[in-house]
Amino acid sequence: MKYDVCVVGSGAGAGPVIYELSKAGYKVVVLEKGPWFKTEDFSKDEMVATRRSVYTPNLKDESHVLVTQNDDGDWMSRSTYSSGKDFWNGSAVGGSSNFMSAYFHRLKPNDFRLLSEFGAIDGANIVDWPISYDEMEPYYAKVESIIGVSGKVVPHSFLEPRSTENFPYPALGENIFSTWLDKAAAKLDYELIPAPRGILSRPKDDRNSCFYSNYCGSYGCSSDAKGSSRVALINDALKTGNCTVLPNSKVFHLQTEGNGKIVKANYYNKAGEKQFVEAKIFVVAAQAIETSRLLLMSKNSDFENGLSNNAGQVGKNLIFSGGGIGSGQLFFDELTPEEAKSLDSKGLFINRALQQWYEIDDKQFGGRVKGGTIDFVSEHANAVTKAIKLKYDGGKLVYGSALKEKMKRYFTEQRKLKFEIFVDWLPNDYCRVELDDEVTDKWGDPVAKVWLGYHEHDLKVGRFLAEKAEALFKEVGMKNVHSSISGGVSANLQAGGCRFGNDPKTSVLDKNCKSHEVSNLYITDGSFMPTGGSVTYTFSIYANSFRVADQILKDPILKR
Amino acid sequence: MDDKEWLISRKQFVKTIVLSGVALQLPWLNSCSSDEEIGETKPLSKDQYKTVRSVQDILFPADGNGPSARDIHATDYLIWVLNDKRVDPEENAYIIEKLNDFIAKCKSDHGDDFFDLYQSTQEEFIATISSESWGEKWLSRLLTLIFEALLLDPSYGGNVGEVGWNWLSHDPGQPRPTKEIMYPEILDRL
Repeated sequence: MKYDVCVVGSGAGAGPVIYELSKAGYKVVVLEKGPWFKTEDFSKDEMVATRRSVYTPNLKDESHVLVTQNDDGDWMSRSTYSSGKDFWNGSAVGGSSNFMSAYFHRLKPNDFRLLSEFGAIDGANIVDWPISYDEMEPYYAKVESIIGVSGKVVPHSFLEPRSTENFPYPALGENIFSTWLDKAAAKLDYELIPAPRGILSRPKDDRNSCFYSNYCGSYGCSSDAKGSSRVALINDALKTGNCTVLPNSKVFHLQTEGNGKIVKANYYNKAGEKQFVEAKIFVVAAQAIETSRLLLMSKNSDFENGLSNNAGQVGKNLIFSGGGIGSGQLFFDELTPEEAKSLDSKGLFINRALQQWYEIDDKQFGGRVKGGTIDFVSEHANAVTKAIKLKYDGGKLVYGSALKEKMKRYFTEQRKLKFEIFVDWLPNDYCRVELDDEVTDKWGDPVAKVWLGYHEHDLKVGRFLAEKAEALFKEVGMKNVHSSISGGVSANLQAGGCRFGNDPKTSVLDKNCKSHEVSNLYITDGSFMPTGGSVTYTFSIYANSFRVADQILKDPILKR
Repeated sequence: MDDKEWLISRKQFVKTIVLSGVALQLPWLNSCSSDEEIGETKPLSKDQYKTVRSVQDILFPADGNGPSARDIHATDYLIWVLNDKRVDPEENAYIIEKLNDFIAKCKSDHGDDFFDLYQSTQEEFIATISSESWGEKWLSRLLTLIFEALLLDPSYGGNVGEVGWNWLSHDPGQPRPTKEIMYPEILDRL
């Protein structure tokens, strides 16, 4: 059977295309590398969620090679199998959207014109986007409605233009700490705002509202409140009868017929046998690193450097959403019993953010620069993870009664709250994806070699924001307030590698995320992003994929 | 020292001994499957089992503050991990290899098995090896597995009667896992 559309991957970048094309009556096949966990397969089992490779591949079977710079300035590469640093996230139908925390901030208009607004920075490959915020706005609104975004819009210095007055779902329930943050922010003249979440606060169709399990990020949702691609889009696509999902199907090569057109997606099934599917249009959304890897692996005589890579741009300018973290503690014996009980109540969200310094005009930067976002969150409830962090004191192993006393106090006498800082990860020549020359996966294919270089400017902005967040925590009366700003990355917050743009010499995709070189190839995960803004990417990936789906529906290839 | 650094060290060590052929001469590799009396302690010998159990007694003691390593079946949990074919064999081989180093050093320093020493001597010996790089990493790994036995779902064999959760007032969340969606069954099913 020849399908209308073959989609590689099933996460946030794939879901909107699967949903829209299936609903429009086209035959869609989805090749997903991971298994198909259904809602009833999810529980609050720390073993499954974080202690063993269940939602991610076993590193012995599939690894990455990470390239980082040491203190001497030398670039060092190491396999994640060797280091134990797992760089996978969410290999399953629905991808990592199953396991996201779902902080859903929109990009701002100036994020689309970073070069024009803020100018060039030495060592950073900054460009403007080929589209404007106005072209994306209707799709942000669509995501808010279809995926389901909860929150409350309040005026602030960097509120983006909206076509709707408010989010379609009211804000989720909040911990008493949120009100303490509000009071402290008022004293400091901070514009603290409610943080929107891609989580239902009220039921929607077959999906239930959030039940405040206290285990959100890293866990699959048992009420379907979290807006994963699987529950919010693919389940509806399946109801049309036009969508076929093939789990455990690892695409390793996109085959062309010498005319710049893909004819087959070759994949391994669960048994390791080579299979293929044929389609009119191919959409790749395997998450940024794996998308670039697949294109680089799909070499042939027409594309000697990899598919759609005759300009040498595939894999370049990888970016991550990050900047730093910080924390502070509140001790129950310094609160009233009622306050302590409220603070210690499990499951309710903090859901506060600062975007007051999304743009910074401060003398230490010598002018106006791009700033970022600060999200305020609870420490994750994972018990084993918390315990592991307690087994060292000043670099010395703690054990015996001293360890037990330390654990007892940590778990029962305080609560740790955190903040997460997101700055622009400036695209640079040392953050990119290649194929490794030595390490292969269990199928014998080269693994992705990922360069993780960052720009010092990001650290400077991160430190500026951390000072603001620390001041807020101290105003609340928190103890042990500190932060860590670094170029470390979160593997689940990746984008870039196949930039969109108007010039085929400097970009892989056109403004509609269609390959400049391959007439029936679209890329709809975060790969298209030339810069990422100062927020997590998932909301924008969803929105852009809905935008591109509208373009695919107009593609004459689909009508043939 | 975190688990990442432990992994790096462990893998470098295993690579070294395999390349040199020494692994083939190590008694634990040959003795594990031949002794009919080992029973449920496999892949450990009875003495290896008793040794690591005594080490766990020091790391997570019965001191009246919450459960002890024995209360949460930490040694049997370790045996389950050592028998888990999905865990990287190099990781488990390293735990046993360092256990053998521990046993050898104890006999060298004290002329006796660790589990036959007075508790005060055991504590002194643990303090000594925890100040050495290899010992610190090995003990750190054992602690991580004690934490798993203490705080994961009781269905995995530890945390008997939810004693770990109750001690730390930990709310594990709902829904709890059933057999078919636990590790590793969920992987076999999907």
